[in-house]
Amino acid sequence: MNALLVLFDLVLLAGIVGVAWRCLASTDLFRAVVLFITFGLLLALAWVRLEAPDIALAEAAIGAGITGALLLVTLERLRSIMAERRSGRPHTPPPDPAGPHALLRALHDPPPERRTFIPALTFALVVGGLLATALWHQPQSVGLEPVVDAHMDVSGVDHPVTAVLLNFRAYDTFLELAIVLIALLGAWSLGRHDLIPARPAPGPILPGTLRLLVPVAIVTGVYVLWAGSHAPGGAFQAGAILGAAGILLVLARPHQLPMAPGVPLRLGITAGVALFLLVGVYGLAAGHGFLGYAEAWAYPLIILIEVAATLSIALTLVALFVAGRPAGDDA
Amino acid sequence: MSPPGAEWLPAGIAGLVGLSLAVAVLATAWPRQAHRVGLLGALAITAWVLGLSALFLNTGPDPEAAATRVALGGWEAPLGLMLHLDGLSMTLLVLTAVVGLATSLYSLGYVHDRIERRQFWPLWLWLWAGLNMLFLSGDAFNLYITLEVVSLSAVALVAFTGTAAAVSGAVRYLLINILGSLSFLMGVVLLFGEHGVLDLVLLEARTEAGPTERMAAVLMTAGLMLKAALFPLHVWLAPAHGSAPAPVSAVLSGLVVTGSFYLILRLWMGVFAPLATPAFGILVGMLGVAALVWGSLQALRAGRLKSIVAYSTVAQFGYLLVAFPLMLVDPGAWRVVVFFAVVHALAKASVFLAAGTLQHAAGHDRLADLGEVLRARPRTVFALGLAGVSLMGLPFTGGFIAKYLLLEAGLGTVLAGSFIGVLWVLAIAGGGLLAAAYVLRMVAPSFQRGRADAGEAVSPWMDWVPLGLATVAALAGLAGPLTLNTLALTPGAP
Repeated sequence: MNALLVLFDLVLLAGIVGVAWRCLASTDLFRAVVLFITFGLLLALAWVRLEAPDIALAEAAIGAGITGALLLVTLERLRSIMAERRSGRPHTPPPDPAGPHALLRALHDPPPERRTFIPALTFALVVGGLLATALWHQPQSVGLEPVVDAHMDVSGVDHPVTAVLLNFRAYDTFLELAIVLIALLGAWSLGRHDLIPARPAPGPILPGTLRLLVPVAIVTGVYVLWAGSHAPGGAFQAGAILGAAGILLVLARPHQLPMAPGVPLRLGITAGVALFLLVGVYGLAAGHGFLGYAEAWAYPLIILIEVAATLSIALTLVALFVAGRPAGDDA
Repeated sequence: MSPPGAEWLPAGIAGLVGLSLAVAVLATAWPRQAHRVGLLGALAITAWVLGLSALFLNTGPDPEAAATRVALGGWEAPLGLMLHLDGLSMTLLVLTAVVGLATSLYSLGYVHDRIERRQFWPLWLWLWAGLNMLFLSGDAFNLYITLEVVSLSAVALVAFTGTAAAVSGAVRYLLINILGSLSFLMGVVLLFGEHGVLDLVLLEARTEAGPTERMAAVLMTAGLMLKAALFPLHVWLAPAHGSAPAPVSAVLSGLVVTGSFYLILRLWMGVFAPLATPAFGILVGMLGVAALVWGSLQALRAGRLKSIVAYSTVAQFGYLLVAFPLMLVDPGAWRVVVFFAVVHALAKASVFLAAGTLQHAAGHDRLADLGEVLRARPRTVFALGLAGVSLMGLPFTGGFIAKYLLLEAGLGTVLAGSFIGVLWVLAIAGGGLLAAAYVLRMVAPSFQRGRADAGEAVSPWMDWVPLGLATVAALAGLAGPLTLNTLALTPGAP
């Protein structure tokens, strides 16, 4: 390993710790969110250095990108609620009484006291020290790599990570899709959708950028999805990219947001899990085991599941960004 | 020569996972009919679980032959992940089915608003599917994911009413759950790094008492204790369970908490078994005694009906901790502990359902002002009392058998020459007295003279289901031998 790379790693490590510290110590929420996004990007770099490009992609797209957008929009909503309360009159139509106001009250706990600092630090140091000791004693384990490599020819795809996620441990991936869906159901159960506070962007820059960015995002998303079968990529990353395009569209026209139709929206967000489950039950009935494929059908089925999953993930992420459930869902 | 039906067992196990997931997905995609999907699904899942348990018991009495592992997608461990059914998971699946069916029927009456119904049923069915998958999972990483499915849907259900108290309880519950899950995941990562496999059976064969195992045991147990609200990590429980809608409280206190406890037991009987030392057992037992005393005192002080019930969960889980040192002396005692958890789950769920009926009728659950409604609703009060009697452990109820067996195990340790055993016996006996005090506190106003007012009308489901479940809890004593026999079909356990 050459000295330059070592230096790069050290700087990266220092950057990660430093940014994390600044993020936690910041009293300004906006600054904390921006630092959090930076932290995610640095972490993605660290994954690249650890030779895990799949995780790097996911970290950049979901950890930094989508989570950052979600945090920023939450902040914006909090600000508008605070401003509304200060002025004493709502400037938007009265929102759901059980909606974000309740959440705000709930979150408005007093800030942690100074004297919790020392115990927290001691605790973190002790646990960290013990973890480091345990890791120090660990042998250099190869994990399951040889076993996975030995089965690559029957997996239906050429990329080991996709083979594990969509074939060998498809059950885990199915449940991860389900978790994204449950998160959305939880957000929807809290209240109706009220529009993101309008901040009309003056000038032609936002619409112009959108016209350029959205097609590029769609092409990139489809490419990342397709690439997943033989190189780093796949449904979660592609879904995040398409979701980002959707979020940009939502942001660009907060007032003319078309009312989301209830039935297609529900079908869209469940398409991924529904199709995955259908294939799984078919596998059980056909004797390949639950969530198993016939060897010849593995590739087309995996691609089919990934396409549906990508669509569902993208839709779910946009819906999470909009937050409350759309009025169309109650009809 | 395998007994008839044994060849259907693997398909039955995978089918149960498929069925519970299919019901949840269908309710999510078709919210207009979610309650009908939910009711039919609840009946189907319950029927499936009962059929599975019949098949399973039929393959006994050899635990090695009965316990079944199913390779998902045809990939055997260590490459793929395995579902795992043995006596322990079968018992908890049946418990989940009984409480789940009762909760579903109750919810038909409780969640009647059209829009609320569309939100409630999909989340509840995901929670149920998550619990079924948790009890069937035989893979360390998969356990983490099923735990997440359970916690996330449980958090959403706690926040369901959307009031400030409920949302605040839910946010705390979410943070606790994330902390617990991350701690669990770190332990999984350590184990995987050391041994290169995730399958529990393979891990069990490879573990010894090394530094990695110790650290992983601490992390995973602490995370699960946090999720199970075991003393002293219980502070989040009362606000979350007390502010959730009644059917949700019933499931949280009855099943979700029991699920985390199941995992602790499963891990310490398998992967971490070489690490258990008497000193560790005594430490855990001490925590249990503290939980018993502290939880009971809080239940005696609480002013709201549902808070009393929530704190009683903290207290009753103290018994499960007290059982750990007993298990070190008499390894067979673990079956008694599971039986106790089962009886507790049944009784606690029915108490919460009954409390929900009273709260709905009165419009609040402040104990001081509940007298009128209590006097006018003898059926619900009877359910409350009957389940409470089982919690106290009076004769002829499931709770009595469970506590009797626990006491027997405790006396066994005393006779085995363990001085500290006296403390366990005292705690088990004293905890019953404290339970009697707070149960009587709940039903006492109905025996006082005064005005009776039934309050708001409740649906027949809310009227009868608590009574039905309380009867099941009381009669669970009759199922004692059956449960213990089912539990005996767990390979590798004493």
